[in-house]
Amino acid sequence: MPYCLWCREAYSPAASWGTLFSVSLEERFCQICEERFQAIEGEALCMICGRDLRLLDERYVENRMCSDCVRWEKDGWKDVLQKNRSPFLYNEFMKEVMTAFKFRSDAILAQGFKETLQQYYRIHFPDSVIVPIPLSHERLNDRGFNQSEHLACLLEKPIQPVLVRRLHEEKQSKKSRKERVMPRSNPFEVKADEEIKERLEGQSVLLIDDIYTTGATLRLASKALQPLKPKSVSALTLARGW
Amino acid sequence: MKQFVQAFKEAGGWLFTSSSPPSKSETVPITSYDSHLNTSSNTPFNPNPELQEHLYGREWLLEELPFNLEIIQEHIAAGCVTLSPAICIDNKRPCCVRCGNVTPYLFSSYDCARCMKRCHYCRQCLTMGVVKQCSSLVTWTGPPPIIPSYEDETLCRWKGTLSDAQADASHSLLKAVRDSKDFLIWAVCGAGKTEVLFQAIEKLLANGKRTAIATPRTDVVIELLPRLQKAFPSVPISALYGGSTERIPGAPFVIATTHQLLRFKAYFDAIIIDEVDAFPFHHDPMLLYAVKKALKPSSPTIYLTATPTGELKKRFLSHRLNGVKIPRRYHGHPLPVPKSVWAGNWRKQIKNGRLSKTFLDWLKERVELQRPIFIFVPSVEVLRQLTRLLNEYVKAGAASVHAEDPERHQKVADFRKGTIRILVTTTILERGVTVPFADAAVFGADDHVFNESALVQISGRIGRDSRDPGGDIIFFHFGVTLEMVKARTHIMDMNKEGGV
Repeated sequence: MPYCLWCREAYSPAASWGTLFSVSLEERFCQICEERFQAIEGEALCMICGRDLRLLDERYVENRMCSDCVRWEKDGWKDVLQKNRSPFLYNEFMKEVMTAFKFRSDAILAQGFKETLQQYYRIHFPDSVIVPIPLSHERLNDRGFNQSEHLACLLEKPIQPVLVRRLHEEKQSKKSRKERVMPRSNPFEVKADEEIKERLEGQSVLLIDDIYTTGATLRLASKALQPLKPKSVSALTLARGW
Repeated sequence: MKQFVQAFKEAGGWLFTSSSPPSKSETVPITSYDSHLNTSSNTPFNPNPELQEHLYGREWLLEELPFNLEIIQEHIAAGCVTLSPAICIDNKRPCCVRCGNVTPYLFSSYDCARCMKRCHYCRQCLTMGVVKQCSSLVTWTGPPPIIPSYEDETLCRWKGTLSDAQADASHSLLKAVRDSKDFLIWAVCGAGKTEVLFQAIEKLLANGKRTAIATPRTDVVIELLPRLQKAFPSVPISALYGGSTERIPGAPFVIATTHQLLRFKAYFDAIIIDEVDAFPFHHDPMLLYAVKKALKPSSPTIYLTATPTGELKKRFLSHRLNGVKIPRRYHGHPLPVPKSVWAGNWRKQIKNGRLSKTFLDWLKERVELQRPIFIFVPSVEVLRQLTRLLNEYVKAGAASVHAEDPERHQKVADFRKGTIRILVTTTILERGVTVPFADAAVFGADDHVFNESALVQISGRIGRDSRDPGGDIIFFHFGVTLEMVKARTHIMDMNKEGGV
């Protein structure tokens, strides 16, 4: 009997051909916990950031895009981020799980999202080159692992960690929107490694991060990647605010 | 962190060598202060009193310490502070030194950016800050701080008198504590267990001994603190639970949830475990580990409960554990015996927004009598549905509490004051909370969460006050269970034994 990653109760997994033949069961959330996540589904998503447009007032929707993305596109960030998709809404439960995952370093929780992320990769971003959003050196030392890299590994495809985060910034969660959207300088830069640089040229690049809030982090990362001449830069983030 | 590693290697500490302790030739692991004194130079080392206070009898993760590295390093060199690995690998299986976890599925591992290795971490005590294979636990191995002894003072200012049964128990307990023997007090709910402890606690404190009352539930800590403060007005008492504000560093008397005990190591001279069988204590070997760790070697554990279960009951009945039974309430009245009332398929009823007539009639009658009413339910889901229905059917101000309710303590206080008339609760309030003149119902008593001990405890909420020793306790059910019968028999047996 497997144990739920979150509530740690033993549960009986829904019977399927997969469970019948698999030798070792993957770590997962039980059904009760799984139902507490809120999936972002349907057709009415913002073309760029993947926000559920039905949750927005009509005034903030323009050509199947949310007004935030319209603003980004106008403000000189055109096509910097081609598309973001987040399987889940950043609801209270997701917040709790993310807190445990990131701040209490409970790395194994990521396993519970493996199937969903793999599915999203297959459907939305096939054959993209995977680049996780890096942490600064100091933060990495505190936490012991990079949560984005951890999520990226779940895709079980080769990953290209070409970015480094130079600056040790204030935590995103402690900054105001304005500070987040307009940082003074780009914290990301490309690793000084000639060999990996070539691997991105003409490729669709997929950035992996845990949470999409304003989209500033991902766009800055994409800006930093531009000298490597990727065909496009998109993002897969586990969860996003409404 | 790299500087930490370097610094500790230089200081002769061992930080990242959890699987292989340092060889004798390169470092001298310092295990006791005395052994160090013999080998050290002539200049005496004066330990930092704040660090001493912070670390003595405690166990912290290195990264949790609010002291700078140089101070810690000096103390390590002087043998006053010792670091040890937080996770041991025993026969390829990890074991968490902080919480005693050895369950394989409660460990995980990842490629750690700190130690650059595959690093195991413990998932059992995560809420207290992660313990990893490359973490170090820090303890004090220098001279102990001096704690005040109160020898010539009368510490206990409680003015009540003990019943004969209480006095006997108090006397036997005092003897057990003096002989450092474990002891069980098996007393019905409302027997006045807390008062039985006073004499022994006074003796311990007077002799400069550190004493703790541990309980699995935060609510019990909150309920006990004012009573003990009143009984021991001159003693600093520290109350420890998640988010508590009544922490007094160095207090000789501590009331703590069993979780909070995990931060102690060889600190207490006696630990009293209140409600020893309460969930999650008897399920959870972690908390027994915590008690064992927090106690000094060969110090006594005192178990307090109305419903001893399993191993404890066996040890007592076979005379391997000393103890006393108090089958009678302090006011001498018998325990109210629960009545079982059939209420139909209650699960289906609440789903369809209905309530059974028998349940409603009883409730309305009790509301009219102006009595506070506890309603115990089997799950948070039932709790939500039932509370909504009650506010629809019986307009008497029903509120609900469960374990994760942030306003839980406030609501219980309001219920006591009378501003909340009906309190719907999960089993979280089955112990410790006492409200005079109350009645109680168990809604869905046939659910499996209501075992014998839970039902006995719930029944024990009623008739605690000598002005109102009766009171109603009703099990509303959809078919009588064995546990319900056992609970009823248990209560009637106790009444018989108590001669009432």
